[in-house]
Amino acid sequence: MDIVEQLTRKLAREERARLEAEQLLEQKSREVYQTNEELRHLNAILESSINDKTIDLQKANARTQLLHQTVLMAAEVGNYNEALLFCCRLVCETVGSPVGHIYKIDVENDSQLVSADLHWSASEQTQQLFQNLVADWRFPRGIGLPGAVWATKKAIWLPDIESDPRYRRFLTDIDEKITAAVAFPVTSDSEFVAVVEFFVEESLKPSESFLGLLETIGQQVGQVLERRNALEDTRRAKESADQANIAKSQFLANMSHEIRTPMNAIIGMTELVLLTEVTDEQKDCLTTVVSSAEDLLNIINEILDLSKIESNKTELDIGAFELRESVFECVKALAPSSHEKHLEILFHFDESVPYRVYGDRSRLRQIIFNLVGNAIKFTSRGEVEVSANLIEQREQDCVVEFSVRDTGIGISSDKHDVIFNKFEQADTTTTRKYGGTGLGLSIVTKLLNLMGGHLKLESDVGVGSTFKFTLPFGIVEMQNSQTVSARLSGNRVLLVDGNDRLHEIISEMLRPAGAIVESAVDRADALRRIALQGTGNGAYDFIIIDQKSVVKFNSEYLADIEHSIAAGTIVIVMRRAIRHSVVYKAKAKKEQVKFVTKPMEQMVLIDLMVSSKNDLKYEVDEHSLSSSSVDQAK
Amino acid sequence: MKGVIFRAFLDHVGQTYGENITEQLILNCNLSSGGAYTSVGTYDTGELLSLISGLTDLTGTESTSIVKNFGKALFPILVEKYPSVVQHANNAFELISSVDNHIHIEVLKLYPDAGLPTFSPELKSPTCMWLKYDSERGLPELAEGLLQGCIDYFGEEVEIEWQDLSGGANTHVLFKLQKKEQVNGYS
Ligand code: HEM
Repeated sequence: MDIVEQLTRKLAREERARLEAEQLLEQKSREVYQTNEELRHLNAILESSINDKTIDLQKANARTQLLHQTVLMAAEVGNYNEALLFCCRLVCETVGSPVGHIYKIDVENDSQLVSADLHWSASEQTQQLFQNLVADWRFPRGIGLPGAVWATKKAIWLPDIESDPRYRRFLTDIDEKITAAVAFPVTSDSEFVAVVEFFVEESLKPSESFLGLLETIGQQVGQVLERRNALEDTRRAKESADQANIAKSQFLANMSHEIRTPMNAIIGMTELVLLTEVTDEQKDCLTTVVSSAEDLLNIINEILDLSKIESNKTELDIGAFELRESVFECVKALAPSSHEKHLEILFHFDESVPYRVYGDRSRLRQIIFNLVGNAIKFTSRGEVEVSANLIEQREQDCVVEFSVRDTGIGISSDKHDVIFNKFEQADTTTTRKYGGTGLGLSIVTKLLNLMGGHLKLESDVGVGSTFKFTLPFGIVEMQNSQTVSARLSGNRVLLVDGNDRLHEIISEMLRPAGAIVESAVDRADALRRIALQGTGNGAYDFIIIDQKSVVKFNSEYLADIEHSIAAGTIVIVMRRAIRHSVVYKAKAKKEQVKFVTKPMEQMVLIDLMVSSKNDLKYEVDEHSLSSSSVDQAK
Repeated sequence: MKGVIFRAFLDHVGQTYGENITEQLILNCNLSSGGAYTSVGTYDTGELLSLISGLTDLTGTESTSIVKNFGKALFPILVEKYPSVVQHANNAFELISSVDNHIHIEVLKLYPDAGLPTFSPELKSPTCMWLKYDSERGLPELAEGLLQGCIDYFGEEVEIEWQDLSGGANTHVLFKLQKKEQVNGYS
């Protein structure tokens, strides 16, 4: 191969390589261009997304700002109108609206909206123009932009107010660019309050989320205002109520004093007159005067009591006293009124209840008086039982639960709360039927609060009510020093009475004394049992029988019993009240018939039984004798 | 394999055996590129292998020594072409240590499609370096030549030994470079 051919070949190769290199280069250039293009595109996307994000952020920021300001403002501004106007202004400024205003429901025609005469404008001049324009605008519910907002309670954007079919409005006089409007409701607890409307350029189309924000603002403003109003109302109401209460207490205190003085005079003078010679008829009248005056005085005292407790003037009077005895006295004092209504009155203190305690005796009695008095008042047949149990005992103190049970009209559970309110009884007709101030339970609750106690009510309509309350006491003496010794040991007692509860109570009373109590539900049962025992040593030592039964069977019954018991059985008749008398024409020795007054006290009953057993020969209970032979009427 | 290597190879053949042999070689090999290479292009590695065996046929020189000699010649060519790539090194060991993590990385910047080996250097002592060569192309002779070229470039004397760790495939090879003791103040 010669040199020329070598060089030619080489040259050809170089040429080919150069072309290839150029192609490669062009190819690379195209690739670079392509890559560049892609980069530019990506850059543009990135930039716009950054822009979007920035705008979003700014918007979100502006919105939070707006919401925040609205709430702040609403909390600060004095009244509704100011708050609405402020809200309108904030929104207008934020979106750059030149003019905005507020509609409210027309007071003369509540089916349409009218301008609330609350406007906001960027300039004075616009304000004037706008004000004149708006004065004539009326929007029925559901019609036009404000009406639609009212009906839907939603924020709405209307892109072209001039084309709104029925309610064309022109604001081009004010600003030629204004063709669109946005309106949103102000609501409080979803109650419609007002519409805020503002005008914008059409290009300023608000987003869904902005409309949502406007609704939130409307709610916030409404709510804050509502809360402020409510707060203001309660404050004012409380103020005036307090005022009234003070005045009332003062008035009552004065009045009670003013009334009590002449009242005492009336009672005193009448009693004096009663001491002189008067006819039976006059006596009757005057007695009524005294008892009515006493009733009235009681009522006044109750009222006075309550106002004292209410003005926190009551102080507890703590001392040592015999618990059982004090309560029993109350019950005894009320027994006549229960017996008048033919009600059984039962008294039962559990043995565990301390004998002497520290506490406020008179307040406790006041509570018992009230509750037992009520129980009697609202019971027309059956019984009233007062009982007490020890429910907690520590070294120095204890808690006793008292209960007052009746078989009266009962109180339906929905009225339970009401009856503790002062002046209220379960229903107002009750006052008319049963009388009373309606203050009793209120006084009881207040006293119990004062004494650290608590009142509970269990009741069934038609079955009866049980009021229970617990009270703490200091313990002075657990047991009565003169304890019940087994003085009736082995004695057998037949109680003739249909009342199971009475049977329980008497058994319990006599158990410590050693007596064994059996019970007969009625006359036939009693006679059967007596006959069964025979007349020898096996006969009952005592028969306790209710006066009521004796009266009912016209004393034959008693005679029957006596007849069957020649063996020295003592009959104890439970009578209702000392004054009550018994038709008694028995053949048996009078000393074998004894009387005990209900409610019975354990000691009294046992003493009576023991003494009558001891001197069967014997003395006559004068009182019972006289009373039992005098009155023939019943 | 990049065109720059092919061009260097053909130049090397021309200089070593004369232009006549180069033309003859290209004719004999019947290459699909026709032997026209541009340094920015990429060509089948097989073309290099057939050029090498073609040269053995023409000259009777063993292919291994052809490759090794080519590597030796290639180093100064590369240095001349890309001087900036080697400027940082003061001696052969320094440069060899930087092939994998510097020089060939620069190569990749120019030719992203370059097929390069990996080198893992380990300096056993100031005068002894172990160098692990891994490449699917299995060209340890080329590496040896380049190493020699590099050593010559710095005017040093280093003994090169290598052993194949891949059972004849030459894809994993360990080079041991031992610098000669300084003699009478000369390095
Ligand atoms: C001591 C120094 C160096 C050694 C031992 C070395 C080793 C090698 C080896 C063995 C190959 C063949 C490919 C393979 O075996 O997989 C190669 C390829 C290559 N080397 Fe190096 N090299 C060195 C320095 C350089 C320098 C200074 C440059 C110049 C910038 C360079 C550029 C290249 C190029 C362009 C290729 C071809 C890659 C391809 O064709 O795809 N090398 N080198």
